[in-house]
Amino acid sequence: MTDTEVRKLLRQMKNDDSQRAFHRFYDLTYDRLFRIAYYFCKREEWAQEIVLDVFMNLWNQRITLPEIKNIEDYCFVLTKNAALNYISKESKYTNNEQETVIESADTSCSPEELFISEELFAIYVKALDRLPQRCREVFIHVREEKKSYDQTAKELDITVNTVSVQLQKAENKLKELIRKFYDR
Amino acid sequence: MEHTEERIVKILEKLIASSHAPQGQYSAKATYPILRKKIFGRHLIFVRRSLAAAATIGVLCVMAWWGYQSFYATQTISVYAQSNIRNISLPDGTRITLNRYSSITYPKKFKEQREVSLNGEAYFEVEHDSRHPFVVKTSTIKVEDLGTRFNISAYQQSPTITTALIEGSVNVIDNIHRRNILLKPGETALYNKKSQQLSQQTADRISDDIAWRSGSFVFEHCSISEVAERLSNSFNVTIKITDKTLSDYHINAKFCHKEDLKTILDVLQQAGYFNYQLTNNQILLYKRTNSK
Repeated sequence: MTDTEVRKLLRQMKNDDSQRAFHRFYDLTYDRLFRIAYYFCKREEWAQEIVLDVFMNLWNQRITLPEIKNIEDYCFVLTKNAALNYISKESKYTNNEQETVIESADTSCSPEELFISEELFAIYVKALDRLPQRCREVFIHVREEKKSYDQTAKELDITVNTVSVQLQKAENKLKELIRKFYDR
Repeated sequence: MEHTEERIVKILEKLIASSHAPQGQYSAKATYPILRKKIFGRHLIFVRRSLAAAATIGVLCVMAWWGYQSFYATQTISVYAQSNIRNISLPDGTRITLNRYSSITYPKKFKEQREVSLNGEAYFEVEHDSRHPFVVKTSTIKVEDLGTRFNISAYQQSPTITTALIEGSVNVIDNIHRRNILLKPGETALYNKKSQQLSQQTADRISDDIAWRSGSFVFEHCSISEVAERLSNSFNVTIKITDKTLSDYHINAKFCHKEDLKTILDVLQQAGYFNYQLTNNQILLYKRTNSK
């Protein structure tokens, strides 16, 4: 999502109460917010409910949105807070202990390195969002959904070679990002 | 600390495992209807049909209530035209021709003022009665008849509202800024919803404005964007112009034999004005290239 397009939509939402603009903003933002909500709560039904609440809040606050400097970061925080609230409410009923540290049996790496900090995750999500559409789709199909190159090629109507190229592109970008994060 | 390729790969794997994209019933598409119902419910849809600019949710709730009250208090009748033009006679003798995908709402029993609401386009032949003025309300302007025949084009999705007077005299009133224009036969009032300006034009082609009544389309020095808009309104399809430079290109064309949309588009394509493509329930217009 380009920043200028999002800004335009937010202005339309504020000035014209445009449902159409809101729908478009929703289409551009939903996946990313779902991802964030899921990162915290690890349950699809919960993530969906959380994101629904976040969008409702965004609509209700539409008058103030165009003035916000960084809407991406703002949405991250909104979603995180909504998710944590939701989890704390749910935990009263389900007694679930929330895993926030991803542990590894692999002892060759120090625990600090394998702990996925929230900050890194936020950057990862932003970067995913910024990948060109085809590139992101391929990455999600192959790495997240664990589909084969063949299956991915078929579903996205591209060649296996394109899958390989796009996947490489995505992974390089993301690895670069991780490297930069730890070298700062 | 040095980060080997191996470590970076491991971290990336952890990142991938920490979350995933929404799918199936949790996808954006599947979830939107739930969101829409949650935020906008049913009242807002009712109100949007009769208001141009929506205000805050508070005001809308009040308006919805008012609308609801109104309905039961006065027993209104609504007539909707779909893909065919409809002719209606009102109880007072006024005749209305409704263009496609347009609607008119009027009370079962007229009060002091004979008030009807219009969304879309209609041609009016008003039964004159000086004691009971006939008023057509659209989203933002109203047209007061002071005698006989006029045409109003007030599609919700159009940026302007056009009133063309054929015979007699009408007063076009802008509700928001309390301005009005008194039209004489042959004159047209144009209301721009965005700038909220009401202006007057002498229509040298009034007959073209009402050509639609016989199923005709007359485009006289019309820009492609205007052509797209009129076809879009009449056939209830979305028409998008993909090349900006095409929008301002002007054409002349007449379709007087109740041609359907495909025929009209084919003819215009043959004439070299543009290429068109039907995809996903919308029509796209492309600039014509000479490479063939």
